[in-house]
Amino acid sequence: MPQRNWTRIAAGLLLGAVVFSAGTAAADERTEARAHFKRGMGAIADGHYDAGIEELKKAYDILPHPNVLYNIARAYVDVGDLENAVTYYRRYLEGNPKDRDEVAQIVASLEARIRKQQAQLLEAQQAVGIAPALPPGGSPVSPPPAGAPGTAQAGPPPLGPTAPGLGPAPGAGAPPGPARGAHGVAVAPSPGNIDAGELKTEEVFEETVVTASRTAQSPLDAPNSTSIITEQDIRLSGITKIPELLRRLAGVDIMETTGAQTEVSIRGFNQRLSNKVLVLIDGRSVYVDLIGATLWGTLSIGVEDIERIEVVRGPGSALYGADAFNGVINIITKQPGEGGSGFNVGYGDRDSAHGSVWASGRDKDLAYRISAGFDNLPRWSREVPAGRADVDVFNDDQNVSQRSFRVDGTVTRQIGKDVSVGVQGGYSESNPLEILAVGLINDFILKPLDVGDVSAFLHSKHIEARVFWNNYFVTNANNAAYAGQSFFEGQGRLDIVDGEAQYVDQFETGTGVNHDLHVGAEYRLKRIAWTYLAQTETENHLGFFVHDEIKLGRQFAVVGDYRADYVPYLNRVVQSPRGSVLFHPSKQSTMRGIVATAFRTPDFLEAYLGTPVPTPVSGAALIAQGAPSDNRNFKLQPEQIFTTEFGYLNSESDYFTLDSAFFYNRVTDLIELTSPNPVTVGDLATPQVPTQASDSTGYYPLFFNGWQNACRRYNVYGAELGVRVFPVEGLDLYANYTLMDVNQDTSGCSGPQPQSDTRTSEHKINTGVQLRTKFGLDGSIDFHYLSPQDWAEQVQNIQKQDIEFQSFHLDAYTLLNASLGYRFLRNQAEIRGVVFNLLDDLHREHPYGQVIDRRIMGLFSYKF
Amino acid sequence: MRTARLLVPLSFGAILFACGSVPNDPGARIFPPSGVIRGTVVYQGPHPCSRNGHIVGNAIVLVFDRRNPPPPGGLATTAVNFGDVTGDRLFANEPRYQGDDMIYCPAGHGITGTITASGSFEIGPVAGGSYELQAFFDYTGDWLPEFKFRNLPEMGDIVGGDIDTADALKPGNVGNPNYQPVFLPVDVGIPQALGSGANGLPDAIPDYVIPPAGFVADNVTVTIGAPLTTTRPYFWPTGLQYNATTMQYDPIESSAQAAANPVPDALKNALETPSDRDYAYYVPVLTMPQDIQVLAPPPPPTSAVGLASLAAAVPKFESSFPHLKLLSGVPSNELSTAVSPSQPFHMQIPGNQSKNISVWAGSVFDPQKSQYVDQQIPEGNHIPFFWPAVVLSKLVDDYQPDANGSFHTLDPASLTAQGDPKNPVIVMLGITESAGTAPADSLLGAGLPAFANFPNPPNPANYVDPQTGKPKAVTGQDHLNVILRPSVICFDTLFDASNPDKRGTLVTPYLTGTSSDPTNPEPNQPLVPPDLLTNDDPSRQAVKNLVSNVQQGCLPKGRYAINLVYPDGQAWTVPNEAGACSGTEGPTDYNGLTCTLKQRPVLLSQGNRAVVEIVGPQDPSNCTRMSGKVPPTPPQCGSQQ
Repeated sequence: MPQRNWTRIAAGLLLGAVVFSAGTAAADERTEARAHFKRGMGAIADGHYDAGIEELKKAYDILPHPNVLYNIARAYVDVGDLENAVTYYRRYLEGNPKDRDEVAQIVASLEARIRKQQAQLLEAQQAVGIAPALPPGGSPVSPPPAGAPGTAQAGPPPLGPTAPGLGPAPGAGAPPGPARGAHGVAVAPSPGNIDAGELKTEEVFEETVVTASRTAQSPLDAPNSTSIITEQDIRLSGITKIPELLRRLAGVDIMETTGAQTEVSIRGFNQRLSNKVLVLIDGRSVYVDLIGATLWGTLSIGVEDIERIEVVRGPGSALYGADAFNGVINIITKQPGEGGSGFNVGYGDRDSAHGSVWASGRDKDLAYRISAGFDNLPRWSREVPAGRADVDVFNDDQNVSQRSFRVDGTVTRQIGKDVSVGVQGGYSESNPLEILAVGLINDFILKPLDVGDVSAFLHSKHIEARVFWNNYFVTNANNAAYAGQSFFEGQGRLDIVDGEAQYVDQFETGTGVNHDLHVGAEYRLKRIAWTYLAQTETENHLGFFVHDEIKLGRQFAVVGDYRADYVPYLNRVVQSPRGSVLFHPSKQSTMRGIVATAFRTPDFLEAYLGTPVPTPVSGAALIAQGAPSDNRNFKLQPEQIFTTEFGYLNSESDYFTLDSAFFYNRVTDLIELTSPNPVTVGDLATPQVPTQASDSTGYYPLFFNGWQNACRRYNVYGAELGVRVFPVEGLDLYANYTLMDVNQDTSGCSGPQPQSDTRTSEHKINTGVQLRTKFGLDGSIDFHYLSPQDWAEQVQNIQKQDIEFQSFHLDAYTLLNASLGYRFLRNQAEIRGVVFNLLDDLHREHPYGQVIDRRIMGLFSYKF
Repeated sequence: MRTARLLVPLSFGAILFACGSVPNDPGARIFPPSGVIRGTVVYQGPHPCSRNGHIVGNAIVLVFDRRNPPPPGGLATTAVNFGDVTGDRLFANEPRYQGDDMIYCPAGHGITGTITASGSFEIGPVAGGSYELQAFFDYTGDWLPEFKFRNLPEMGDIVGGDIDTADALKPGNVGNPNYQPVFLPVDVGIPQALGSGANGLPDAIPDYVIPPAGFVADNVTVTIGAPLTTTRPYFWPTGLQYNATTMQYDPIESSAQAAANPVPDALKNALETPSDRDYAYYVPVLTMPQDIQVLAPPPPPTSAVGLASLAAAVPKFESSFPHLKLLSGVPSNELSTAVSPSQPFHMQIPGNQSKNISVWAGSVFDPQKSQYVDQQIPEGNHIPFFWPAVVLSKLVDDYQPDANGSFHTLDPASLTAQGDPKNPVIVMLGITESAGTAPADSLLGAGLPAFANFPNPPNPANYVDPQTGKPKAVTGQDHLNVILRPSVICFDTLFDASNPDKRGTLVTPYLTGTSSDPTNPEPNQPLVPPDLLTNDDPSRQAVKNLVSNVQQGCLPKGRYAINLVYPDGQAWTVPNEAGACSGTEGPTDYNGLTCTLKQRPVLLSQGNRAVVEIVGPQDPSNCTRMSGKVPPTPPQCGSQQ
């Protein structure tokens, strides 16, 4: 279909949806729910209980939260509607909250009160010979308004263990008027001296992040710039690839290199197998130390399992150690017991397919969530046309980029009020998985790649601990090779065992000086056996960290972090400090200044490489080595980044939020390939240097090469400006702009240096709209513009027998993605159509990336 | 609202039908169509050696472009690709010696006989073209592709290729040491029509284009079965200068002058000056001016001009040419290092290393006459052609200082021959002097028998061993003398894809010269036969295969490596890696004869001095555009002159 028609259809759909829905919908669920919640709590505080309850119910309908149920119940108690109060308390208890025992007692008290009232009413009726007449839907007796004089005396005696003396009886020294909760919201006294608990007044719909400080906090308090992808963003986008969800964020670079591989970096420095971002799932690192990358397609969770994704922009080594170089992405999954059950299936052109099924439940203190899924991801474009006589392919199906299935499960148990433990396990198998690999290797096939993980964790008031084991087992090869050339096949196994414990405490050291202290240690075992490594390697890493957030009154906070990591490869400790100062000009705004460093250790491929790499000459190989045979003491240094940043965040208004950051990064010691050195005559006389043909492959070594720290430095000046607007109900707009001015500093460097190597766009614009209607139609449109990019890739020059920088220019491109869905069967079912690259702007996102074209998928989901 | 609701299922339904195939990459990521050569190596020879549970050596298959084959048929110094069949795979059923204390060779333990084995091979990518496959089994396990001193088969290896076995079995070819196997063409791609530029080319080879689906030249059979019985022609060179008094050619000791040498009296002074000592090791063994003028050959003897006159003319004629002396093996002080198994070089120089060069007269079998006919050099004059052939190839090694005043920074070990569009392949062909029964260091000795038999045709007995009836090979020579022609052939055509004629331009400073006949020194006698490229005499065919036109011009300045080539392809080249340290080995320590960064022995005889250097003109007015008798070096010889 011509491009224009698609554009028209999309525009028409969007316009129609807006016309039909304007004024009746709620867009950003969290924002809308928060507004209703605020209004409801305000009304209750003012004694307008009915209006307040209605607002809370609206908030709950938009975005369910157990505390809202509790507050509704509590408000019903205040108005004397005990039966509704019990109903909502019971719904609250279904979520197995930490205070379930207390609430259960309240329910018991209320039920006893109801029975007693009924008995008293019956007794009174019998005394006057009147048959009982209960009002429909209400309690048999409507108590007098809360706080009415004489209520305590006129009502029945207090019930329950906490009942005696709890009601703020007039004349008992209590101040007049309604009591005030901890956060200043008015709390009405319970009728009849029933202790119905206090309203849960914290703003339950306030966004919280945990990644920037290892503790739940408002983004306003986070010491780093932090972005969030919400569950709503995920659902409305219809996107089924987790990393693609992040494209809308300022400062985040997304590269679709193959159908299965999306590389993510933060504030530039993206590359094939991006290695400068640490990705966590609920705090568990999924960094593949073997190659220094995140293989997003191998995660054992799907987009349906995600509650939110937090993206911390800027160095994170002070908290997370190595490899949190220029950002941390933490995927927060839905908690066991939450999210219900359901499935989501999709099918699209080029035989793309997606499926996911999940179930979640709770039995008292025990909660679980299990999920499974599959994906069939086609390539964007083929490197090997069908019918080629001269090329052998490792995977017969050259249309597929990844075919995978996954399963994941988590079980948690609440032990007492403050302690919970849990275990999680996941497994995924990809067969095949196609990636754009590093160095001279482009199209690479992992077939199969089995990934397993098991973790256990403990959360308590002062101790947080977890341990996990990640396991990778892979067979890999070049996707294709000319007949006569090797597939460069290999087998590998990677085991990572990681244990971490931290002590957490909040305390005061003076008036208005509050600390949030985290002190912890981490141990990480890495064991890797891979055909491409000289030998099986085992590393024992240790890390120690301390984090203290010191709040000085309401407006100032100082955050200090320090982490020391022992890196076995380097045989030394690498230190990572971070300091941040926060100033709150108002309650909902923050000015932030940061200074931080981070590092990335050489991955195993860089540190311990030792393998012959096929060359275009059938019988010859290049010997790739981490440590040269003739200089075994050679050590790569870790890549380093120094950052200073100023940020401003304002979420004062219910109609918009504003986020901005201005930063300077200095990046040094990037690891790159060396030029190949020919095998020399002297090598022939050195036994440890491989110079003879391999008995197995027959390759004659011609050259050696490895890795080195680049001499050149990068100075990056950047800015990120973002705004999110909620003009009317049902409409949510966002726009952000990223400026990246990347400058190379080659002073003092010898040898060839790349002409221009920005690796990112100088200008990037993301904007979009989300729409949700009450009659079930909802969708989103996202527009992305990236200005041209200059890349310097190291390529093999056959004629010169050298590896040299080759400059590539990527033209600017735009992406317009659209999603339109319709919910039915009481919102349990949904069909959704998703179009990626609606304008069919054919482009590459990496010089060696596949050509991205338009892709369409239809999805159907059903939730139990 | 209802309309909006309907749109969703409609669009959803459309999506389900929106399938399609994955498009091919429209650009650079696509695997470009290429050629592949696939076939079988068939081995027939002795049981292989083994060690540590593995067969020693592999079967190597070398792919050469038929338009530029290796010597002696062409000039290629490296194959366009090569593949191998590992010994373990080729001899899967052969028992192996499990110990690693020695290399076990069955032949050394009385196990003789011939076995047959085969293994498949694939070589790719290969560009479209017509190729020849040369192959050998590396019986000794010494072959390495990257070093000149180990990159060819050696004595004991079993050689072969995709050859015309019927031709090899012809009576005149069996046992003929001069026989050069005929390699069958292996065509990769779709042949294109010969362009107009190919008209008249001998055995013109068309262009080949790889079709979009790629091309596999399948079922190629490579036969390996001929053991090499001679070693490579190891040598080390020295320059010669003619002593008119003694009428002998004496070795040049320290007087060679070269532009590369910063001081006069190059070697001697350099050696005596500590700061220049390292330059001494770059002083060429022989220099030749760009505008070198030689004498024209004497006229053939006639009844009027007798042999006596010829005997006087020939030395005069010959002495006007530069001379090289190639001494067998290596100097005695380098021998133990050169042959030691624990050192890198593994040269197969026997104990009597001073007499290890084989020489034999070039001859071809005339089936009509059923006899071998001698080959003359292209210039004729009854001067016989002798193997081994001597070919000098121009190196990239800089002959003039760079911007910093430093010499030899491009190629410190003088190893790399030119070969790109700016610096095309340039060769100089030498004339091997020898007669057969004894070293004959002059044309007088070599050619006189031919002259002497005037007016009769050359006597086959001079070139054929009466015992065997085959061309007469003379082994055990301790040296060869080589006359250097004052001409080069520039092959810029090798880098012009649009030109099907890959022959080069012969460049010589003078087309005519004074006759060397002392009795009648006539000027303006032809130095290059006017009919060099038109005469159908068989002796001209070799040069006609290489040269398409002749131009007068100064010779391209620079340093030239020296190659000695046997007809079976065995060869030796100086300078080679044994003689100097490459860049990553660090500068050569000439005092310790080792490399600075990676210590290993250095054989000076194989090093930087082992070159002929063409230096500036004798007449400064030559080689310029403004004046002079000799025009500048023509552009076919590249831009770096």
